[in-house]
Amino acid sequence: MEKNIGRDDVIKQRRLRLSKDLIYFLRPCLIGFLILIMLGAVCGSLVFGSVKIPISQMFIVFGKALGFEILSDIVRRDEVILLGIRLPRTILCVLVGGGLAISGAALQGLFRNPLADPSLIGVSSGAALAAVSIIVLGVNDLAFLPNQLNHLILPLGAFTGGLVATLCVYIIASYQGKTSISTMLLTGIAINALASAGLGFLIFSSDDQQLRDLNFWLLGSLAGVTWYKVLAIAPIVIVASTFLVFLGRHLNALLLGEREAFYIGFYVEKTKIVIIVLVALITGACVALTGIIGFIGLVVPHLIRLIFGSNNKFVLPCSVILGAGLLTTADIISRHIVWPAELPIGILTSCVGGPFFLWLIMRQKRYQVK
Amino acid sequence: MLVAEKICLGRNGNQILDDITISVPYAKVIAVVGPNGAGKSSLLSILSGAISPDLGTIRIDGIEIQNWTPANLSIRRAVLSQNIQLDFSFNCLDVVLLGRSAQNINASSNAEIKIAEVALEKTDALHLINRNYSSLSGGESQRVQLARVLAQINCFGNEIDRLNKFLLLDEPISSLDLKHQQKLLSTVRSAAKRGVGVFVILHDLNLACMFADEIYFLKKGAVIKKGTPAQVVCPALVKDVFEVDVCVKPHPIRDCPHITLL
Repeated sequence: MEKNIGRDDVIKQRRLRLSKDLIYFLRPCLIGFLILIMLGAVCGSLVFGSVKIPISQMFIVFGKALGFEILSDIVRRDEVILLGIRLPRTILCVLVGGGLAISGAALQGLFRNPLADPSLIGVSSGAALAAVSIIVLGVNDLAFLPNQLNHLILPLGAFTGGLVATLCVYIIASYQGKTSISTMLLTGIAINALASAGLGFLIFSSDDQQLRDLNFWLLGSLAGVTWYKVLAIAPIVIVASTFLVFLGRHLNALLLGEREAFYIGFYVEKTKIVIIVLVALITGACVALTGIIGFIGLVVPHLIRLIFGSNNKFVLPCSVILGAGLLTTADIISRHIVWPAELPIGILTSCVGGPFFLWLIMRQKRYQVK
Repeated sequence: MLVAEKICLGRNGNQILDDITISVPYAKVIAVVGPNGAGKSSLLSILSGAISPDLGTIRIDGIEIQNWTPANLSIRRAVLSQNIQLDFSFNCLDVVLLGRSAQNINASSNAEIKIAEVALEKTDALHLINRNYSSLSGGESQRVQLARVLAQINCFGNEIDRLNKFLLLDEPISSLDLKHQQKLLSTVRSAAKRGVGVFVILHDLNLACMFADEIYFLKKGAVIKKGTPAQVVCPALVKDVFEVDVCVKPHPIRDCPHITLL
């Protein structure tokens, strides 16, 4: 009998080791797969459009732009479309998709709650209110500042709005290191309501041209992007996201609770503030350029958790990759679905994200009953 | 040595801790018992540095606890709280490795995994290593959390690793079955044998008598009595602190008192 138990244990141990090795083997494969999806989406976004550009042509154009000597002919029109319109737009998709996804993942870690999302808890609308105020009041076109600085006013304003909103939600929803789910979502509703009241007033007081711009912008749109705008937010999003990726282990510890994170050895208060500021920076920068694109920050980290589990060391970087891929894909769809017009991408992401959110709530309900 | 001197703590006008002095030496198990609301968990929070008292000082090896960084503290002492919630799906190995994550940037190297496996084995939870934490029962998750705490200070590592460490445990066996209550307290005992100072809050007086070197009886935020189990445990004291009538006899086999409810 004793011997049998011993052998069973050995077999069990071996099986454990095997499944562990499998996880460590599968993870890199899955990450590679995600990267492939993203690259595919990026290529698709560059190639498809009202003018189809063959992939070979695309590589030739990029080759030339990078300074290689190209022997074959280049269609001048393709070069202009690729480098002037599609490339900045695709880069914007990657930045915004990745940025929103990692912000969502970080907020979910901070609130210890899988339902947190920049648009859901009012961070995006706080940023949007600030940005719209700047547009309507015309503060973003100051004559005495050089052009490059004027491009920064909008992202910075949106950042401030996002920061104020995040701090409000955090202060109201957490008490003695615990964050209540319902309070957080309710605070988000209140902030969204306040922000939309402010937005309504600004829209009411704006002229016809502003109205058209605003409306399009509020639905979330990647259209009309220029290199200037992309270059204004690229450093913000890239640097802040990189910092967030390195906060993975802090966020992991915070999942156990703030007290536990301190016991494990982290500066909890400092970490929380750093995360809030970084999230507000990224969301502000994204919202400033594209308006409110909802649910990316909710859906993407969730999909990643379904595949990899909740370890933030994987969730954060993989969210960036998948978020970039998903938003780029969504952008391709939104450019074609009502061709020759263009559907604001926010409508598309909400169409997909809304049902997903409902499914999440149903799943949680089932969990609680169990 | 972990020493708290003349600790007072008030919250909303209530005196939670009143002039408590306690010392946790290395290689000893100090058990704290007392009725609900006696201030046991508050005392643990203060000893761990998570909240600072209104009056009094806490020192680890003579250095006041405010002067320790969280990272340095985490190398020297590990804390197990009650009711730890984790609403995200983690496998148990990752949960245990969380305990190592502040000290090591690369917390999933083979050496770290080895430490985690030893800790899980000591709490009889090695078979859970690849299970999803949120699918565990109450007792199983408590064992995994205790493994995380043991792994944090690596108290089953080599000689140097286990020098000058403390374990602070808040009801570590509250949801365990009989076998695992025994098993875990033996594990804690053997950690103390290897030089770790242990502060443990317990509800079972008999287990406290069996496994502790010293018992503190707490009531309404004050220490009523302290000493070795054989010295202090008597029906009058238990009646005074817990308001129940008991009889105390020597344990039939072990060298400690045994308490029987009347």
